Amino acid sequence: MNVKINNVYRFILPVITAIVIFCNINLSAQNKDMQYSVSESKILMGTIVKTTVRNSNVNLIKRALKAAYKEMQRVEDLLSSHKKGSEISHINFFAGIRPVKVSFETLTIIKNSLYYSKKSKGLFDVSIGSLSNLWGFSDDNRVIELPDSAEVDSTLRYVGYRNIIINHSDTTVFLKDKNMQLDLGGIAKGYAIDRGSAKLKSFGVINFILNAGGDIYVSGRKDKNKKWTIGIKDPRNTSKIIVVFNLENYAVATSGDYERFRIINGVRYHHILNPYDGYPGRLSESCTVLAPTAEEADALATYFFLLGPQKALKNKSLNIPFLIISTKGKIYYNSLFKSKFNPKTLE
Amino acid sequence: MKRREFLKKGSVLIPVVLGGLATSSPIKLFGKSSNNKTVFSLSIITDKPTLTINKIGNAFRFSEFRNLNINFSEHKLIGEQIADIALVKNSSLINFNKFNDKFSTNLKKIANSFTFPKKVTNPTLLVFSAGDNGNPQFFNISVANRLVERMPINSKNGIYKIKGTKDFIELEINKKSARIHSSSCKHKTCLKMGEIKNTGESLVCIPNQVSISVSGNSHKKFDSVTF
Repeated sequence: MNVKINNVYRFILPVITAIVIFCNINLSAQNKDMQYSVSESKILMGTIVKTTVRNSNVNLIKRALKAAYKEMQRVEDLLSSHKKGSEISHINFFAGIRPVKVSFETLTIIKNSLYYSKKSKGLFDVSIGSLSNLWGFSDDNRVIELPDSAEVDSTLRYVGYRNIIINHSDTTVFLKDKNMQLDLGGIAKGYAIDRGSAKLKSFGVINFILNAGGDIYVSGRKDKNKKWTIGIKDPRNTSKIIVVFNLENYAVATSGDYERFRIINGVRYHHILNPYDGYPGRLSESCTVLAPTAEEADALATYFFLLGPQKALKNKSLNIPFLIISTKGKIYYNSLFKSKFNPKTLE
Repeated sequence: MKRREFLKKGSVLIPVVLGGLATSSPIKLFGKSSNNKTVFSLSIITDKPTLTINKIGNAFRFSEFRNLNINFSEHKLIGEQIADIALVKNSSLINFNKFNDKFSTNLKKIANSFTFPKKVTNPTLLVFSAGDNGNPQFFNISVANRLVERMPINSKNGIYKIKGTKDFIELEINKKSARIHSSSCKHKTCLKMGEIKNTGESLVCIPNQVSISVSGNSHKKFDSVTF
């Protein structure tokens, strides 16, 4: 009897094993075929944040997206100068009065801002808050107004990254003058994108594009044989794309004079203010920078926009791919952008 | 409840189809596909999105759509809605109850398991679609990140009022494109955003928390735009 059973098992077991293996192969082949592309948009950080993810598991994507948006909301709550209770508004409130204890995260982002300020010789400066307030760019509930030139000059005194004092030992930040105001608008969005991207990756989501108001992190590929394709808007015809290029595991950010502006007496007054003279930059219509992180791309896009194409192309200190569209509408690529990303200009 | 009534009440779900589903012949919706590839859109209103996604995912695995790259989007809806499933294939609304292929049978089973159609108070719209006819299909209008209206791309030309979180904005629809006609906000940035007509494009008024995006399948030359 036992012999018979053993014989039956000897025959049946390999058959069952073979069936199980076949079913698994069949199922995994079917699973492999199913690829979902999921897009989600939310209003966050004063702009629309759109994420497109490709993965085989929709519910995993949903969980990852929820966590990524929550993380970006957390960063906004920490770094926005408009939000009461944020660490930045706390620093601004005690400007000229006393140092403010902040989280290590806020201290690090301010420290990084100072690095970009030094690199850009002050063209990128997060202490620009009082100047942005004067023009009305910081507040959604105000009309952009052309300020009196004397007012611009006097407000410039409160702009200067050297008067931001950070103390690493007790993690405090102090603004030396009571009229100084931090505005991290030129870097915080990039940092939030990096944090959101890290959160997506922590869920095992590899292939995605995270776009927050035109600043983007691209991870992985659209599919096995195809990279994601990014378009750059035409600054004077914003429904048109002027340049396209492919990207993989890289960030891109654009600063343009068409996002927040008002035409007064035929002159365009936009939100990218030059900390040297207090007026909107006049050398570029838009500047697109590519970098390993969105934080870096975001900060350097402001810098190169204000520097203008001629000086930016001569600047060899930063080995960064970029493109600038001059105020005459001419497109200037630096050699790194051309050689590494092969951009195509569209007619 | 009869499906005709569901379609009349489910304004977000295939809003262009009012009545007519009682016939077994498919109803033509949008323009024809530009090639012979299968184009489909499966829209579901449900109060159990995670479970529904799992069930639909299993149904896809044994369907003619299993080799396609499927686009998925999820929208939280406001108010009470009628939960049900609507399948559009090659521009025709399909009454899957009258077909016996594997996918239709699975959809019937899913609808029965959820006792669709039924009223739900916490509705979510799930949209699965695939194909590459490139046709934009809807203007999706959201307020404070909740979908409040889906206007077919071929909606009547005119100006439509949308109530935002602070005040109204006016949306102008003209020849399958949309632009913000007026807004109470101070900076008027939304008015400068121009018009949208291609899948993936969007308009947004931050102070009023209103966003309008074009949905549908896309064959654009780019996946995202930096600006």
